[in-house]
Amino acid sequence: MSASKPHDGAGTPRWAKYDKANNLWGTMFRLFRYIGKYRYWIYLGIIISFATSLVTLVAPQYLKELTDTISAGIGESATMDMDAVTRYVLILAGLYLLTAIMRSISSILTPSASEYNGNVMRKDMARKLSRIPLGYLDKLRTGDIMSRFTNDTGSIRNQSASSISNLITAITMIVGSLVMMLYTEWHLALIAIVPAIIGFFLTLTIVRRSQKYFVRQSQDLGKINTLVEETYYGIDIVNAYNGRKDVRDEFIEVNNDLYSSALKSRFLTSLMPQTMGFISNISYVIVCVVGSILILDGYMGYGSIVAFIIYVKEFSDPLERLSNSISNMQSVAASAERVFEFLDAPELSNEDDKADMPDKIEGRVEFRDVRFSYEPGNEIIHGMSLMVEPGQKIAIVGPTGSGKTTIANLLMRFYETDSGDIVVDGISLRDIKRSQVHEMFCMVLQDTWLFNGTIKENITFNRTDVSDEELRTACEAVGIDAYIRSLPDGYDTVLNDADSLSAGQRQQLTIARALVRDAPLLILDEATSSVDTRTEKRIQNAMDSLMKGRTSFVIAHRLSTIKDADLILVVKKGSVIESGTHQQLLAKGGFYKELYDSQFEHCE
Amino acid sequence: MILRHLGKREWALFAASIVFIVLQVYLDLRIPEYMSQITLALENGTSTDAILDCGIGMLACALLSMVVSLTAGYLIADVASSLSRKLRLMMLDQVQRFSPEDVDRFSIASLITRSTNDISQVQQFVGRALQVTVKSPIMAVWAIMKISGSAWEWTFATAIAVVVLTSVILFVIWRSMKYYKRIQILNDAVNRETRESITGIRVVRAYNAEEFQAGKFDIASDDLLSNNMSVLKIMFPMFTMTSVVTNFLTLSIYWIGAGLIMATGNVDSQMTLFADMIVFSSYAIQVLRAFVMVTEIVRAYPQASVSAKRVEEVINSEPRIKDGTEDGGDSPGEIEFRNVSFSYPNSEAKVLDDVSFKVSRGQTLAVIGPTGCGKSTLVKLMQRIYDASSGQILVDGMDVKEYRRDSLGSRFSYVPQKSIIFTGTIRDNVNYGDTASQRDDSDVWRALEVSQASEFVKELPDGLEATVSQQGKNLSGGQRQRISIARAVCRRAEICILDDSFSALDFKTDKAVRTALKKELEGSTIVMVAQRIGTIMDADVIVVLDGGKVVGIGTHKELMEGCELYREIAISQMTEGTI
Repeated sequence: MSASKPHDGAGTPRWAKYDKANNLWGTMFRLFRYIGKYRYWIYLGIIISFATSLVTLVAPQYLKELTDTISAGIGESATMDMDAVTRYVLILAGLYLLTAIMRSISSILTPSASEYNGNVMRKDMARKLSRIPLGYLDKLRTGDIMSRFTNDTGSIRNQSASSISNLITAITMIVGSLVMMLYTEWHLALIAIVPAIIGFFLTLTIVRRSQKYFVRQSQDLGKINTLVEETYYGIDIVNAYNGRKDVRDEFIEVNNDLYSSALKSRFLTSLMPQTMGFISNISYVIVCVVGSILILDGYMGYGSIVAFIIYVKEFSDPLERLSNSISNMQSVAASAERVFEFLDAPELSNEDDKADMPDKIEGRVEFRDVRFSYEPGNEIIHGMSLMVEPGQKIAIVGPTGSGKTTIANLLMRFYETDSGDIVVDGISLRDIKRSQVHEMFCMVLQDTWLFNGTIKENITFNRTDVSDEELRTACEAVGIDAYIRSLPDGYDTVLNDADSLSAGQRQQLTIARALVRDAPLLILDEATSSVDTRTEKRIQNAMDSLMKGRTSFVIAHRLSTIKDADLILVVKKGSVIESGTHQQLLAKGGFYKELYDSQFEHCE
Repeated sequence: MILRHLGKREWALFAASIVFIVLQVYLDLRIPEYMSQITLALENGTSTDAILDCGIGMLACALLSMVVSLTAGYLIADVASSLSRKLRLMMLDQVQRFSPEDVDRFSIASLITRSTNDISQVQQFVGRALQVTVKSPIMAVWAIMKISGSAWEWTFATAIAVVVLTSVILFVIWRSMKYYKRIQILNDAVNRETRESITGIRVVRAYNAEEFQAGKFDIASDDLLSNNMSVLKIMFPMFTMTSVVTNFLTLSIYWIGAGLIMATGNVDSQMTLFADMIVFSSYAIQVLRAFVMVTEIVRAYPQASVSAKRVEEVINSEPRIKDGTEDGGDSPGEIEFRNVSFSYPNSEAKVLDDVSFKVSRGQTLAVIGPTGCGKSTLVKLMQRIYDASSGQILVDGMDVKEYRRDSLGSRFSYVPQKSIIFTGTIRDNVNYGDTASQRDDSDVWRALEVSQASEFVKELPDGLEATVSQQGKNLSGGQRQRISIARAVCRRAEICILDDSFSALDFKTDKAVRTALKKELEGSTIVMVAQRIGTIMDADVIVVLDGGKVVGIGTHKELMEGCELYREIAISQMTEGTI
């Protein structure tokens, strides 16, 4: 009873996850160290719960005295010792009040420590995210990382402190009540604890046996989740192809499976408290019957029965809590392991001692025999060499999957080359800080990423020194200013999942963002693929002025946008197969010409 | 109330479980009564046999009580699981009736959570709550009645305890409700920030905005923390209150008992009072235990009720589009728009404004225009994914509103802008929908050939059996698009809609697909939305849209002469020589 657990909606229902930790105590110990300064709150909480247990254990002794005093007042010649009764009542009242106060303190202290700890953990993870190499991150699934951020920290937050303090309270109560029982009347004690111990092992067996139904249930839940997710995402197709009935039939089948596994695990869950209820009834019967016989034989007074009824309860209730808190700790440790695994992920190398870029960048870019693979043994870029003069416009074309985006990734140093070097103004990108590399480039990516925030925040992104005028100029240049101003909140319109921006408009915003950034080098990765050609024309003008004097790398599907490039690289399967200007390449009559011609051919 | 969705069977099970619960309460309260017999016997001096007789009676009650409560537990588990099964199916059926606007109102992600997580929360709660909410009041009332039979002082003390606890519980519910409602929202925010930082990681790094993002995350995380702390602060008196009240009630019963015994001179009634005192303290504990169970439920209630409301919101929402009753018109393959206008609800801007055109069977209709001019909306109106705000849309010569949904659907095959791929085999993805049973592998291969996908499918280790992961993540954008086109070909409907379906294909593949499509779909009407003039210049009817209005309609040649916007688009894409 020492801790509360606010439920949170993101968490999977507790019975739905039955992960086992690999190293329960090791992980718990690490978690405890991790808790850091909030550790003392937990220490204090544990000490208080311990003290509370002790006080709770003393109380029945006075209750026994009270009962015996009252009992002694019965009879014709006897008189009730009302002073003694009042004294005992007051002592008990004092004890109860004391436990109440202590319990209040620990019931706010430990969970608060957990909450604060959860918050620290979440923030640490958020910062860790920015230090993990992309190569490592690519291997993780987004959903899985998100689940570590919310579900796993949630379960740690909900249960870590409470399970530790529950464990300690439970052990104190079990040992303490046993000692007190033995002290009060050892014959009765030995008989009275038998059912509780049997009950404890019975529940353990139930828990172990029921495990498979919980696993089945969470699998069925997973199946339903997948099916629902797919159907909802593909609802347009499901409807257009009249696939509703098929989906429904399949759904009913999985739904029935889930019904039966949910029923079984639900029943088994309710089995545990009911078995414990039965056990406590049995203990009550034993105390009453055996106790009465002992009274008859003169071994003890009536008050002892009253004390025993309470002690037996204080002995068997924590047994149930003990098994609960062990299984809670299992799931806490499983979650903590997942969180620590993320926090232990490899990090980008420290670059504090690396040089800064000179202030003035000319923009001469050189690739020297660059080789790269995302996975060892699967080389994507095979020894690319390239010389780009300041201010040139380089276009990269080629079929999907040929490695165009990889080139951009390497320029930005999102990934490190396997061998070879990329050199800007004579300085290798390896030798300067990553953040400085990023600073040199304006970049517009294929997928238009906008965050939950106002349009203005999205464009000025991470810069505070952008004037409204600069903002407007950038948006005018990409042709979206008029649209933004027509919105009721203008530039302060909040973008979220429900906004009505088209793919093209999103792309315009990300281009505006790059315009505002105003860096010496430029990378455009399919920046205008979702914009119609007329709007593209307009953006193109803005781009042209942006590219003026800047070395630019343009990756594009539409060949019309790159005809005027100083150098066109045709990439296929990781190698540059042709290069030259538009005219040169057409004249050559190779792959480029084939690509180029196909866009204007009629259908037969 | 979410419980109104329970069926007759479930109500019957529930009713049966109530009978069992009443029985259980009776048995649980019967046990202390034996104790009162024993106490009286003890004070009077008795034999071991008499005590053992009582003991056997108590054991019998305890055993029966367990059997009865297990039965009740099973019945209630069945009720809860049946309810959630039913709710899940209701959700699915409802979402299948939804139009995109209906879906947008909730967002897909939220609909998924509502169909799974929220329903699980409801199930879990109902399973526990049904038992407790039935048992606790019966237990409390019955036990109080037994106590009040003896002396009013005891009843009074118990009543005070009950009133105090009830008011604390009610107060806590009332205070914590708003924080519980916010938990869901704040969790969503943390989730969103995380997702954002992951999906946008390249942009974030490119702009050195790691700290900027982390700052936004901190705000969301701190909000969640402070909300959870508020919940804690409100909730914690509840946990201590129950044990405090229990303890003080026991104490009062003894104290009152002592006073009552002292006031009575008669030894017999003194002994009855003493026995009552012992038993009543047991009853009092039972009553308060019932309340402890109620507090457990109370703690879970706000969360569950929010979940239930979220589920109900979906189930009770009125789908915007109402089904018709007719099966079809008599001019197959014909599509006609008569003065159609469309605007999204709550928006005055017309996405389509007075659009009229007509295509006959076997013709190709192309729609072109700048981004956001209403092209996709136009093809969605044909399929009645949306309803027109005004005007009339006829398919096969009949208003789309008169069609039964399945009948209208069977006339179309559709390739959406964004390819949708289901988990499963390539075969399942291509041979999809209500025509699936009428097609075999040769049809699938033929469709794949048309969409220029047969080559890469053949190279896959398992061919048609190859599994595609969720949303086709193990396929490239171009491959997804070609599978999606093959699906439409395999369906062989009388009207085939291609909504900007070639965007991820390079020009060579684009052309090859178009040529093969034209041949394969001979006799079908083709509706094509595109951005490249090259893709559509052979169409029989080209509709040029700008800001929702038709600014040109005709063939390529006619439009080159008569439509300025069309010419402008064409020039921006073409070299002079090819025009």
